[in-house]
Amino acid sequence: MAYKIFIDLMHQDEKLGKELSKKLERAGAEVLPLENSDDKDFKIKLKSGLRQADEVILFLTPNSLDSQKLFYDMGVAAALKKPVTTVLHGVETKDLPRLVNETIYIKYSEIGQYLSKLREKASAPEGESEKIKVDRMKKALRSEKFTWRSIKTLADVGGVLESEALNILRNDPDVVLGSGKSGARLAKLKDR
Amino acid sequence: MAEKARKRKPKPRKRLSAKKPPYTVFISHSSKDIWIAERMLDLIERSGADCRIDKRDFEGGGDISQQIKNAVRDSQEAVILFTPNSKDAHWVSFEMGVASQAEIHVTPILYNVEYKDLELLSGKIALDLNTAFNSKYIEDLKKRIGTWKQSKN
Repeated sequence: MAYKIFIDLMHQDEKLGKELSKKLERAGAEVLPLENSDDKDFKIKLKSGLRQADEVILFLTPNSLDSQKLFYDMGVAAALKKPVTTVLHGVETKDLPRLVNETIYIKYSEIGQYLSKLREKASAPEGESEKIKVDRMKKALRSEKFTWRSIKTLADVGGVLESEALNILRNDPDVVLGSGKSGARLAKLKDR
Repeated sequence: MAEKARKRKPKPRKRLSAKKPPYTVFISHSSKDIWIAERMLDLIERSGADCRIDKRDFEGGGDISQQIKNAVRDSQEAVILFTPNSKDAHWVSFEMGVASQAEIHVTPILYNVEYKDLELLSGKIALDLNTAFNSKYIEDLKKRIGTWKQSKN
């Protein structure tokens, strides 16, 4: 079954959103219909799109940086425990609100790495349960050598996308999240 | 020595006792409006409910979005304070999204802002802080607490 992605954006960014959508589809994902956050029925469409999605991409641009709706959507996605990746276009990382800093974010110009991970995911044989992936990440967290591990490393160990790793660990009662000096998301076991 | 140890003891968080009624209200506000939020908290707690509010109940340095989700999950309802400070605040919009998905009772409270300027509120009934919070909201809250307690007995 294809990995479903829901892109949330402002109508001013639709052209770029379509471009992103094509890239995601070429990487093997199924992109759910683009959300127009200015639509009057946006709350109904949003919830239906978010429920179906395996991952949510928030397209953050100068048009949406101060949008009430985009951050409302982020809250809905968080309550639904959906992995969120924020794609930045024309927004500097130093200007990011803390809420966005708590997600996995990537610059649009550097989306290649994300797409190649997505491609790997799409072509990987199915069957490995989420529990096996979580166990591998937890084993890495128990390493004697490190207390804190980066979400990026844990995602590689678990064989999941960074946003999925963050989402799994965020909802795990044994795990504490933090951030490094560079802003990278980190995790450690609560009892370490 | 004992005196030093006593001085070092961390100040307990201002929380209600274990006997407090479990009906809980989550208060969402901009940090600039903490003075209003604290007045609201006082009135709500005097009505017999417990409150969750970031300044008092959230741990600094933690994953705030997770703390918000947990606080909303533990609440029976939410009040969202919209003021000129909060109407464009990311946290307030985020908290409204979390509360809305949690399908708990959500009451937007307006202070010096127009309903028409708040796109998130379309279709929701909002109350004015000065004219309706102390009366209508608090009276309705007391009724909801009563109904909730009855359903728990």
